[in-house]
Amino acid sequence: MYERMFRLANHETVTAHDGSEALAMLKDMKPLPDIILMDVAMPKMDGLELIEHLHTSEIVKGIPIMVLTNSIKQEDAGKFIECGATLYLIKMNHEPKEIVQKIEEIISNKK
Amino acid sequence: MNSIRTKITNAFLVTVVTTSVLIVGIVLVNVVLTNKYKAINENIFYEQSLKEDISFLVDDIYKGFNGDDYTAYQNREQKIKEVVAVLDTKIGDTTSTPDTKVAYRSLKNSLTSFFTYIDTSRENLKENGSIDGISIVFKEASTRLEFVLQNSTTLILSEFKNIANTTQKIQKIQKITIIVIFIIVTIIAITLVVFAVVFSRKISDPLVELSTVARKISEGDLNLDLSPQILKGKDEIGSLARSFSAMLANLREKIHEVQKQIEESAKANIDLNKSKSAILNLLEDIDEEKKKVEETVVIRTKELSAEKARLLASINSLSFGFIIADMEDRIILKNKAMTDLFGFAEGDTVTIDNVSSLLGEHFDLKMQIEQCFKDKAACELKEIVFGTKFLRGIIAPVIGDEAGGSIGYVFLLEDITEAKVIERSREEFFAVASHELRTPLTAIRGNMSTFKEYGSTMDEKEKQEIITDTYDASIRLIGIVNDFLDTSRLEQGKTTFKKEPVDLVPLIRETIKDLDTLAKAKSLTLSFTEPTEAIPLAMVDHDRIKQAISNFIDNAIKYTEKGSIVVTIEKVEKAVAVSVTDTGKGISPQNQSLLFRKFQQAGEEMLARDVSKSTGLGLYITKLVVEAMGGTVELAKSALGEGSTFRLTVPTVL
Repeated sequence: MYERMFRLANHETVTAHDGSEALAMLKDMKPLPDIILMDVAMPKMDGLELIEHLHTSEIVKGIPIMVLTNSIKQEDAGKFIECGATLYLIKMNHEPKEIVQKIEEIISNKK
Repeated sequence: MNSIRTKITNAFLVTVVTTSVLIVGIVLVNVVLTNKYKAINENIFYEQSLKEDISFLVDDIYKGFNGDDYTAYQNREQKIKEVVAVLDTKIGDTTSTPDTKVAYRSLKNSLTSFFTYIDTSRENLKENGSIDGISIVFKEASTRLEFVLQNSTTLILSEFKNIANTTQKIQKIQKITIIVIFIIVTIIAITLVVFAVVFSRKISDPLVELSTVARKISEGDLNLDLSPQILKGKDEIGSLARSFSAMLANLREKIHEVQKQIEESAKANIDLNKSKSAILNLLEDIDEEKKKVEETVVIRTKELSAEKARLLASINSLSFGFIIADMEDRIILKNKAMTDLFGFAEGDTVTIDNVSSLLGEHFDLKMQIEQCFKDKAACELKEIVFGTKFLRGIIAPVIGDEAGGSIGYVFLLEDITEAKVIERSREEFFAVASHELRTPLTAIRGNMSTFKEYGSTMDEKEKQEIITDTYDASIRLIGIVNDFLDTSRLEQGKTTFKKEPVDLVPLIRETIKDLDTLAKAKSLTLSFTEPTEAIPLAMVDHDRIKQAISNFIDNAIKYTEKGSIVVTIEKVEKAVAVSVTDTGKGISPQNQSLLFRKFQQAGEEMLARDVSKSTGLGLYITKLVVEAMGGTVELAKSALGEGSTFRLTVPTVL
């Protein structure tokens, strides 16, 4: 759904189905993405594990990470921010348009 | 010592020997006399025959002289000589009296003289042969014979006199015998009487005296003693009497001592009483105070023991296990909850080592205890897995001395399996609520929002995608809501089940057909092992049993990444069993115990699971449904990395 929405908003997206797939993709990606979006609940490797990997990875250094989830565990938000997440959003509480706007903001801020 | 037995034996022997000697003597005398009587009678017989022969001898001589034939005479002479020879031996022995012997010798002499005269005369007559000569000889012979006859008669008379004498002797002896027997009988009788008297003197009297003295002593008269003659006695009774007397003396001495002691203690008592009354006077005032103090002590003691009882009752009534142990791991106090927790029976020895080994290799109790002592603080033991139970514990060192050293520790252990389940259920519920409900809702909202925003610029294909996406999300949402409602209704027992005979074999075939697409999508082979035996009809609700089997297969597909899922059916006692075996990742022991509970999923991390997977209510609903139809569900076997077998049984048509 987000994939489609970003496409409609004229953004290019690449999708991975789990954490390890994402890490493998990022390794060979040229150019690197402007932003990484991730969920918390994922198969094989959970969100926290992935962000720790990303955080310590030299390749993705400086790329903002946005966590989009429906999990309600409040303590998770703190942990993700600690691990370098730029933003932690509850999916259901935001319009997709809003999310697109926030992403655009982050990207422009970085630039 | 002359024992009574020896005395009795001696007396008896003397009597018997004396009597025997007397009787033997009398018998011997009788025999001797009787033999003498017999011998005399025989003598008389021979003497009579001799006398007859001598009488006939006159005729024989006459015949001899007249006819000059002396044959008869010689025969007679021969016979007489034979008798004389017999009589010689008879008269020679002791039977004859001196008178008889004199008479016999005279007879014999006159006979010899007669035979000599006849022989001489016969020779002369042969030479002369004159008649005158014959008559003179005959006359002379007759005279001589007359003399012989006289001698013979004298002998016989003498023998008769002898017989009379002997008879008289026999009669005398018989008289003596009667007298002697009478005397013996009298002596025996007297001996018996004397013996009885002596016996009573020697035996009964001392015994009577002994018993009398004993009785009197038992009645309390201790001054009595036995008479000296008893004490001097050399027999058994004497010995008994001396022992008795010694005992009596001993007893008297003892009693004397005791009396002395009593007297002394009585004296002491009097002194004591004096002192006591003095002290009592002194203490009288204090006593009041003491009573008050005692009352207080009693109350305090009661309070204290009540406190102790309350404490023990409290410890025993604690729902969690409680152990106090010392530094050497010796258990000082433990409660029932602790022993129940580990399934110890009453009387089993419970030690920290036992408990530690029961807790298993995943958890090192002893190390934790050591850590606790090092930290000098209570430490919490979170989530110990013990079999199918989850435990939570606390180890707290007991600080006993001033310096802060430990003297032992308290070990508390709580079974938090239920709490754990509830907690996990609640967490699951919120996770499900946030994740599962929000996901389709987000999809619906997001898609609709996208459509609203960019709808005008989308092409048909994109529009179609959004609609399909939204529709699928709504379908999932409905599924989740239905699961919730189903669970709620089943829990409250509001669901009604039909009871109809169902052939499970075609039902399984159908279910597999329905789910085959899902399995193929994951490249899994889903197969049904057709039964070789006849499977009885099950008494169930057709739709519900299908839901249950479908849930099992659905689960197997979800948790198996590669391999196969095999469904089997078999007849068991009064039931039909359906098993679903997968080659999935298996279920860890921790999770096995929670498997059929509400909101549980087999994943290690519940939030890490695939969003497409179930609500965590599937197996729970399956369990409720199957049990409502009178069946059972179980995880027949499972090992990590090797897959699992789920099995349900439902009753057959009776």
